[in-house]
Amino acid sequence: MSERFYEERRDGRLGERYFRWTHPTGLEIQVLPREGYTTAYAMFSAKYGSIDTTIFRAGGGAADGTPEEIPEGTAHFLEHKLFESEDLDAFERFAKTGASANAYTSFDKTAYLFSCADHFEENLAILLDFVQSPYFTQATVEKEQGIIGQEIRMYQDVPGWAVMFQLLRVLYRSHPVGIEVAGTEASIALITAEMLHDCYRNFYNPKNMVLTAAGNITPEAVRAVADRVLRPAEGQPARRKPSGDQGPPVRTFAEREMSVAQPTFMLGWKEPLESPELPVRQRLLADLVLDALAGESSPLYEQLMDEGLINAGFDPGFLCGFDYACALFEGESKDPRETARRIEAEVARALAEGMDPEAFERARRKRYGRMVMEFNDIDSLAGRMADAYFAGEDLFARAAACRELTAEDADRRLREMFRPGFSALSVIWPKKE
Amino acid sequence: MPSISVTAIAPGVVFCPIRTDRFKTSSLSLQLALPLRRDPKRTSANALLPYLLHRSCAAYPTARALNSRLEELYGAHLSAQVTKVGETHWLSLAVTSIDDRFTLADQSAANESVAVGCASLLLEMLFHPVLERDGCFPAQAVEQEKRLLLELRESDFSDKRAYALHRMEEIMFAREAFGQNRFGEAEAIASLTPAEVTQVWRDLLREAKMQFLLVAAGTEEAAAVEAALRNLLAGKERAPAALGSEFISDAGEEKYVREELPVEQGKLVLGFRTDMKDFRDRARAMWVMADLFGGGPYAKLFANVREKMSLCYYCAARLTRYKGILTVQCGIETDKEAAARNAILAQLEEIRQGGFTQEELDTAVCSLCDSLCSLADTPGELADWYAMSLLTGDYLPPEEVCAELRGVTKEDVVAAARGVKLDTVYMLAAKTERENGKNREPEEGGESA
Repeated sequence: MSERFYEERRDGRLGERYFRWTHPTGLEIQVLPREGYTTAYAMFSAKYGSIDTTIFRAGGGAADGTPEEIPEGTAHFLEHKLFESEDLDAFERFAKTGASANAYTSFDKTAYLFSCADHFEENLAILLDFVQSPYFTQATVEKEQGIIGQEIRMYQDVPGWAVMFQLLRVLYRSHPVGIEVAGTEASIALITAEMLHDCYRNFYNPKNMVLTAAGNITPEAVRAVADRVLRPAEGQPARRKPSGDQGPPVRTFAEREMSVAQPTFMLGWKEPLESPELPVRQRLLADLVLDALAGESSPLYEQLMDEGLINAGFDPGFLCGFDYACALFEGESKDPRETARRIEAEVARALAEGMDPEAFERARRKRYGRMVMEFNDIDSLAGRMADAYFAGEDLFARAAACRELTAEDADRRLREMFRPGFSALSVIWPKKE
Repeated sequence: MPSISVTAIAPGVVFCPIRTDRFKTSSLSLQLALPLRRDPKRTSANALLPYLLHRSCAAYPTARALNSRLEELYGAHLSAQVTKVGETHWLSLAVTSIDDRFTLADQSAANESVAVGCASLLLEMLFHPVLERDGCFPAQAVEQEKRLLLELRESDFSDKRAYALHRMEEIMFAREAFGQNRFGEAEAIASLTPAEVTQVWRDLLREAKMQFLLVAAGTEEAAAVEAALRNLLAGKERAPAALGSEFISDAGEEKYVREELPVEQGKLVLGFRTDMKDFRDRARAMWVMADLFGGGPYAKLFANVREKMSLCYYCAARLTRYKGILTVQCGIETDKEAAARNAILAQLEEIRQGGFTQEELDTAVCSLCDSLCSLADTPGELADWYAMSLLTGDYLPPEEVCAELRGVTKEDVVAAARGVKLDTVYMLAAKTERENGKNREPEEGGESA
């Protein structure tokens, strides 16, 4: 078979290449083969996450259907239920081949995945088939409410999770990023089998999905299975619409008590966006700015550490997706208010004095090295390929940008990220017995 | 599968290079194994050391200087870890850097190898830490590390799954060294002086069994690390301490402890003893049995306690081979404690009675082997696999272990399950006043099967 059905993308500096093509169903397929590897990894993802809270019901009156709010946690609920079928569920089918299968739901996507050392084609056929074969009844939906109820409870006891959603809910007035991924016990109690079918039709259209695979595989093998198993879907997938939530935070402080050893905090700056999706360059610059400002070689980090205000869990990071973006500083501290005040003062100083070129260069080098290291990890490569595709980008775009960026770029970016009046602090205090 | 070679450098010190060019990185990890004694001060000082050592070294005497250096070396990743492997106190340090093939062009002018530079740094941290004129670690650095270790120890309380497991271990092993917290005791940590910590570091250099595992593409790194190690250990007195764990198959009456905390979800932990005599004794059969019982989504616990009974989101069993114990953990509604406990024990009883098919057994073995065959594709997993050979001395490649697992029969699994005895049940119960209406009404009629 000498026919070239794919496009090849390369990055010589990283020593990496992958192949991509569009399947006749409209599904994007990307394959990154690794010679000498035993493991193969594949992920089938839908652009449907916890922030997608509206569906268009077919035959609802208007030409393109009537928009309808769906309960919080529906994407995650659907993820659980797709594993089930009328006879053998997907876990049982994968168990026969030895593959490890899993799935997860995030703010922006739902991903189904497996990794295996053998029987790749058989496993890929199972993956494509079960995700395309929704089967739910009212009884199986009710059974899942107990299991997911326990998953929700489990997360409610995780302080890092609680402190983040508490912050997101004060940073955003109407954007659904503050909704917990699994919903609440009250919201999932409203989910019905019919509703899941509607969500499935809206979001699980091949045009709204991507298949990514890496490791001991070839594009020919992936194509053979895809051609045999993929089925076309009618209609157009749901589109995301901006929330318009770009104003200052609802409040600047939120707190609650939990059973924790030390106060846990998250300080965040909401970034007002001009268009709903930040390009790769801007996202990478945000990471570089945060590393330069508060990374482990920064004066701020040293000062907070020496004064006993943070510990090794201190972690600055940038969170962004469709229509939301924020810089976050997370950690445990005996005095969260003082720690936040110090970080705010350092941000003000950086805004006044500009980006330190040496700190920027260390940050750039570190990020570049970490990106190179990420290519070791074929488990996460398939996920990164999916994220890059949904963001409309190439897998190598981030590394390419990192080679070009300068301290002046970072200085401009700093000013976009930290607007006065756009920060808020979230604290979890230890609950007194 | 890349092969490993093992070279003795000094008594109880081995260097194990694995040469492979399949990765983007070069990594050196160091395992230090010491007996875990019922000596809170010693345990606490041991636990403090890897963290203290990985913050600086004589050449980069502050954390900020060292971190700047690591960032220049393309964000080389440095980590320290403390765990218990049976009654062995297991301390580790590791550094991972990008391989020199992937540096940016501007680096070549400096003509230094990033991989060799990082490996050398790790050795410097262990052998040439910052010392004051009096030969001791600086007081300020020790005080800072004591605070960080105390906070790390406390942070287990914030992770209720880990906390419940630790509480179960404290109760189950109250009379064994294994019952100690891996980080030592809070009071002992707080009382440590720089002189004491420095002495324990000197003891560690003499007494710990040490293994240096290198995963790298070139031969240059291995040659450099080996030469440096020979140099650093030349003329050093070495007296490696004997390692081993107590294996107790029956500790008398079952223990039950129930504690309340203001949490949303209850955590149930069951601790079982096995009749393993040492870590080699029927280790493969026990592993397969534990996996069939509560390993993956195909296991008895997942299929029944979660999927059929909807009692939990997670319910898993794990064998601690180096202590010969089996633990089951699950997160449940507090009022479902009895139902969950009975369901877990019923599944174990099923296996004891041979209530599983050859197909179920094959599924567990197939899944374990698939994971083992995959681990050589990830440098960290490959290093972790061989790390344990410091205790076993066997350096078995994963595929040989697969062959042993495939030889486990149904009778072996039944016999393994029959050697398992419940020792301790720990229940962390939720004490929460819940708002009405937020939650569903209590289910009626008990469990749905």
